[in-house]
Amino acid sequence: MAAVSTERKAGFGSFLLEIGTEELPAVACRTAAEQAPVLAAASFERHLLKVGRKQIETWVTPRRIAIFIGLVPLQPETRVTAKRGPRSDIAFDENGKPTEAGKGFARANGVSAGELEVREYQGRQFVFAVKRSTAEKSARTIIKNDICLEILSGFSFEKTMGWTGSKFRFPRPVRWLVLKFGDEDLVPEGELYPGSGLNDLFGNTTRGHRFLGRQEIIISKIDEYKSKLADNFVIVDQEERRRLILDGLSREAEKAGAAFSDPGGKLEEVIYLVENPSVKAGAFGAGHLRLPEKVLVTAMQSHQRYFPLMDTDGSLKAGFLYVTNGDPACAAGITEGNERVLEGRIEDAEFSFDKDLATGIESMSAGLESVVFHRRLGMLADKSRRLWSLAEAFADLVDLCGPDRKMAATAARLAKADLVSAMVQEFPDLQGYMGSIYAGLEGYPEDVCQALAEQYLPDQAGGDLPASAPGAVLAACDKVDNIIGAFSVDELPSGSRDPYGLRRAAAGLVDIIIRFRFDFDLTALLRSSHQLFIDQKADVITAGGVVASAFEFISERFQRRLVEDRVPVEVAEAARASGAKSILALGSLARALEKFRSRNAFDDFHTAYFRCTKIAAKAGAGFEAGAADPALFETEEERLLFEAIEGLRPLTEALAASRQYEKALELAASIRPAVDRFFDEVLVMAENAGLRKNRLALVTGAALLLRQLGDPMLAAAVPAPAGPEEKSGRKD
Amino acid sequence: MQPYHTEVGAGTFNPATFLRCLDSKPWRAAYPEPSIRPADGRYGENPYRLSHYYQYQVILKPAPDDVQDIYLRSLAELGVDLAAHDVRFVEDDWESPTLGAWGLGWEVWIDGMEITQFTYFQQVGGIDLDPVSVEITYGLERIAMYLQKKSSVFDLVWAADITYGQIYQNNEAQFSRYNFETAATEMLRGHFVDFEQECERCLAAELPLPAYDYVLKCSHMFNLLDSRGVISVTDRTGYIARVRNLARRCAELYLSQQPREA
Repeated sequence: MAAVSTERKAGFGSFLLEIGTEELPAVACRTAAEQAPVLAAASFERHLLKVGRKQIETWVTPRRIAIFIGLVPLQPETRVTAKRGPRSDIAFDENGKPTEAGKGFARANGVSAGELEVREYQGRQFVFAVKRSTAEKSARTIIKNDICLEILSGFSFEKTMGWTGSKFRFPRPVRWLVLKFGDEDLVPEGELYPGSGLNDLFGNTTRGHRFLGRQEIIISKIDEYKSKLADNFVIVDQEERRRLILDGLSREAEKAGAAFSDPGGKLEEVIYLVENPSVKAGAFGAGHLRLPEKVLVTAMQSHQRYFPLMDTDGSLKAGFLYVTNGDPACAAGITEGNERVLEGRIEDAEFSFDKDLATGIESMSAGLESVVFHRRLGMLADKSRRLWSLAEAFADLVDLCGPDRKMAATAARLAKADLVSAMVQEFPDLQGYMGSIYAGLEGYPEDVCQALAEQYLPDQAGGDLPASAPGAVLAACDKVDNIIGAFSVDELPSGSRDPYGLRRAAAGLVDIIIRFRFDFDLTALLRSSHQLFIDQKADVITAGGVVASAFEFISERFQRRLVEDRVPVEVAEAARASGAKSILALGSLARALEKFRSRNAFDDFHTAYFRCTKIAAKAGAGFEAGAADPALFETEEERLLFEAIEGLRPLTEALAASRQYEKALELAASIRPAVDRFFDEVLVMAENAGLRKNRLALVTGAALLLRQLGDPMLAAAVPAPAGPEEKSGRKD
Repeated sequence: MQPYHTEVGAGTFNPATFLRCLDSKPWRAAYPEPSIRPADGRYGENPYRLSHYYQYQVILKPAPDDVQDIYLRSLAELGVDLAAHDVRFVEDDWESPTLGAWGLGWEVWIDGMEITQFTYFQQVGGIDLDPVSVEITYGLERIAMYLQKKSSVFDLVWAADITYGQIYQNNEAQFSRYNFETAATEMLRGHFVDFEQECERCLAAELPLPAYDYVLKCSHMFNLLDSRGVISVTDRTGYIARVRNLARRCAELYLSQQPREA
């Protein structure tokens, strides 16, 4: 065994690395801010330079990634390893001379026998081979020759590029490097990265704000870095910029007697688009407020990254806030420019909106006849027709009340119309929403409009769910149609490829079912969906396997949800093995199994099932064996088991139907004595083939009855019980 | 240089960019290019949208280290007071599926208005570029709107007593009607096939320059068909793949004919 202890030498210095770049994408900035401290910590640690994680500061702007560490030891730690060898009375003879054993241990560990140290270990004396690896290099040397490169090349960015004269890749060209230890500027001795030209970029000079600051700022003292850049209009610390922007947003909103909003989460991006943030207010023509709110919000947020302003009553104001990187003293001109751009974008949207109003939702719907949904799955109009029928089928399955049923059907018919609107072609994120606006303007009931707006929910993992029943039905049917469609043309998600977002669709479907407590046979809905494709003569796989594998796919997503809710994965799998076809039933069963698993009765359930399935497996009998025929019974035990099964079946099935699974499990477990007596007294593998088949059918029937409540072998936290060997009839 | 003599969607399609950036010889060119995008027309009724507009295209190989500064000086030269405005390089990675090309770069904003596409080409015609070229595409109408403080492209002052609208608004209206409603689709489909075959013939004769002209013509036929709304989603992928395939082969043939450098 090896023990590691450390010895520290005194003396510290500060470290600074600045990677100066052309403007980095915001996402690369975020990546850098996350990875830099981890990379730095690992690199310093690798070289035995102990720095506290909290000591490492990372500052990222669009033009630089800086890492600053206040206290770095001047010398690396000495690593001491001590490996325990034989007892000292074995390693040395009575004269204190090393024995062959002692010498051998010393040799194997690269020390001389004379260097072996005797230490106490668990109350006895042992020899130890102790090695002190004193680093030959100082921190200064390690930083310039090792750590600098390890950090630079350690980042893993989503997209990188090459540039002139550089084999090194980074999200944007690196243009300068500052590497300081204390107040000294360091340059790597050898070529830092082959073919990169990076060595030429080292210096003591950083650059200020592109237009407001000086482009050559000499950092002679390491502690001046932040302040000298601040003097040159660069706030290097992203958290400080975030604070400045948030303060500015609140201040400007208050001035306007309003609140700002950021539904698209643009703040996180804007922080990395500026070095010298200030928040300013602009306005657009109040006449544009006739446009739907989301259209205006999208025009402000999607490309321009402006922050919409809301009145106290929550309605949109004809104004916005934006973050500029420019000189606050020139704000008037900058605001004017931004207002002109937004005005243009809104007019663009208004043009599309008016064009759509002139078209009307019914003729948009007709336009779906000429738009392809999928090469093998027909046009969008075909999809609309399927949704309409599928919503009806779903309404039947979940007993939707009359009004909701009517609303869902109407919404399903109109659902895809807005996909051909000018507005959605311009802003795809507004799909569903535009349909609801257009339907509303044409006098469709509010419930229909709400369903249209909710049809794509949840649009992200854990996102908002539909709030209305018609919306839930439509959203569920849309997802089922997408899943069955893809499975019918064998375009299943694989690995990281999920071009149609089917995993998210399945998870969303499960969430909707849970939220609305839709307790129904999901396979029936999937079958209806599949049948609709077949009826439309789409070029699809017609085999029933489509429905089965789609159900598997969805119930796997449900299993993930259960596991997230702390149901053990084996319990979720056990519940799925029951063959229950309602997602809610699977959930109740899994929870019941989870509770039941810790009770004594579970052992009965488990053992009974184990004995029945084991003999069936040994005999090579499948679960498909037919029913047992009481006329062929020869023993009392056969009859008793048969009666137990037939007696329990209606009871457990009724309990299962009312989702009282724990009671059902309890009852099912009571079959154990009958099973035990049967196996103790009856030879299953009888010579007579008819008898054997009948007995196998009997035990299979028992196993099937039990498995309707989940597979206890999967649920068992412990391995299968080592029960008595069943009488297999074979004479081994 | 001057614009190319056949319809292109962007200055990138001009062989002075597409073919010239493939090899390792230094190349620096600049030219205005009418950009023909049938589907972008709005009948001359929309203040921002045009089916025909102008780009000023700059291609520099290898990309100079200080190319951002050079570019900014060009803006100053045009009359932009850089310190008084908010000029920014905002990430915008570029990809042209029909040209088999992509690059990383920015759109350049002045006070929130996008005026330039700035791209470090990484791959063109499916070929990895070494050295990397930088493409700077100035949007001339956008820059003029900014300098003249106009909210509609049609209000731009073209010369002392004539506006952009007086010159081009009727063109926009007529070409929108043509592109969206009138163009004979079967003829266009036929032409696409003819041009595709002629491109193949030129490739077989080892004539990459004429072959590439037919890539451009195919691309324009495709754009017209697309704006007529007769191309389904699947068709679309197929057409794009056909053009890309031809463009890639032109690029390969062109490159194979360039003298190898020591």
